[in-house]
Amino acid sequence: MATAIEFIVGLLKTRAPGMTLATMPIFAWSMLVTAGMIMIGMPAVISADLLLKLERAFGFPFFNADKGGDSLLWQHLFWIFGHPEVYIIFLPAAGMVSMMLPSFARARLVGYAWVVMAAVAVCFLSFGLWVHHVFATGLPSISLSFFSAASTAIAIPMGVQVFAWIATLWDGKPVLRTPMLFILGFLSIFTIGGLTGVMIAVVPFNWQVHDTHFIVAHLHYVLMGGMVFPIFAALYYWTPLITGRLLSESLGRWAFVLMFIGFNGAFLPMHLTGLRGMPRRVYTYDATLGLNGLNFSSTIFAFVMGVGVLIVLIDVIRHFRVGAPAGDNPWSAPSLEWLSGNAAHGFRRLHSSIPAIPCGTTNT
Amino acid sequence: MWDNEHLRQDIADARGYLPDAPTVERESLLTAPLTGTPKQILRLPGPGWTPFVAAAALSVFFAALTLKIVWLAVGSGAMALWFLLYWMWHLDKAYPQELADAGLYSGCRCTETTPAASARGRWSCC
Repeated sequence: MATAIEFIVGLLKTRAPGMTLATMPIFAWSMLVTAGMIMIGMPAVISADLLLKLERAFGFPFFNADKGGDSLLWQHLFWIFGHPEVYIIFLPAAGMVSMMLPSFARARLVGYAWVVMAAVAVCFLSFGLWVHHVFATGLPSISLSFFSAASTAIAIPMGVQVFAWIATLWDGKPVLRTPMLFILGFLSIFTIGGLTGVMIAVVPFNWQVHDTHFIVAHLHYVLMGGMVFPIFAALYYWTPLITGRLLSESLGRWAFVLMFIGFNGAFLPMHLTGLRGMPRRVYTYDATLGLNGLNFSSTIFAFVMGVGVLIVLIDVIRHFRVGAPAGDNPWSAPSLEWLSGNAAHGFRRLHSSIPAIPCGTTNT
Repeated sequence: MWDNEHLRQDIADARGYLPDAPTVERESLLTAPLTGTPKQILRLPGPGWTPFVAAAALSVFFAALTLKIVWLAVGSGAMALWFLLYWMWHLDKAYPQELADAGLYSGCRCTETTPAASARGRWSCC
């Protein structure tokens, strides 16, 4: 929370002179919104955690029904943090994608204002959805209806961002370097995850798939697609800024292919196994359920994905010795962090002075 | 940078704000939240051990509660609170109100008036 305060104050008060809110980079907007969500969401889980620890240490009856407490209280306290938390995870990744995409599309981000408004809308809406994690607990129908509608509605601002990215690609001439491959992977995987999310927002369907592999498939599609793939794109994109050396393009492509195929091979079948009744959070299951083949193939493809991640780790370690020199701006990126030179030059340019952003600058 | 290709050379030639620190300390520029207009020079705090100790004590507090070691939890919680207050108390020093040159082609462009007497680490640049 202290970090969130620091982000909010820093983003509002210490920008480069001349940089208005309307020209602030999308990643900065994402972090501003994320910091706001952290400020509001974290106290709920901290309180829940404290109550739980006091209950266990001193026997207080907060969540124990036998002592007059309510286990549902824990669920609500946790998930009122837990759902905004997934957007706290996603929004910075979305901001990173919005920064990287123009470099590889060779076009400015389409719909800058819409993307900003979508991020702010996600911030507010995400605090009104948490009950979709507890649909299967016997809630009254008015609660079910409201939170089902809200959970479906959040697809709108998310879709705005996805369409802005697609439009940026359409508008430009994409260059398929490794970061761009991971971004394309993110777009496809996250969209699939979002579609299953809208399915799960529908209460009767939710009751069927609750606590099954369908939910596991959905959460992995949105979290792996929505965070892990952008993180790997960002690793390949910004490592040259930090170390002055490029990561390997060929190893990166191999890593992407293995990760993409491995991920989809592991988690796409889980939609089926979930619909066929495979429970989650179990260490073993009945062999007569008929799910052995699909579960086994998921395991194999998970290891394929692991090999892809291992290749990235090897690439990161080896690039310190054999990576090609990056130059000051290897991607011809438009954003200001590339003004600083890189570690090979000791970041000396940024230490020279703070840039003044001229009037009329548009945001990319 | 696609709109302003001269920025790289400007920065390399130190033709921006704060090309040197007027107080020879770590500084940044405070700008208006909406317009980005430079307002004041902010003197940044240096590294210190008090926030680290406060954070470590807070971690021990939560870990001790998890393990039900009550005396350790109480002690580390009190320690965390003490160091947090100590750290924040000593941040709130009143610095002398002086004018300083924020740079940018020599001469300051700030127009803000001086801050309140109790403001920490700030003074007007015009």
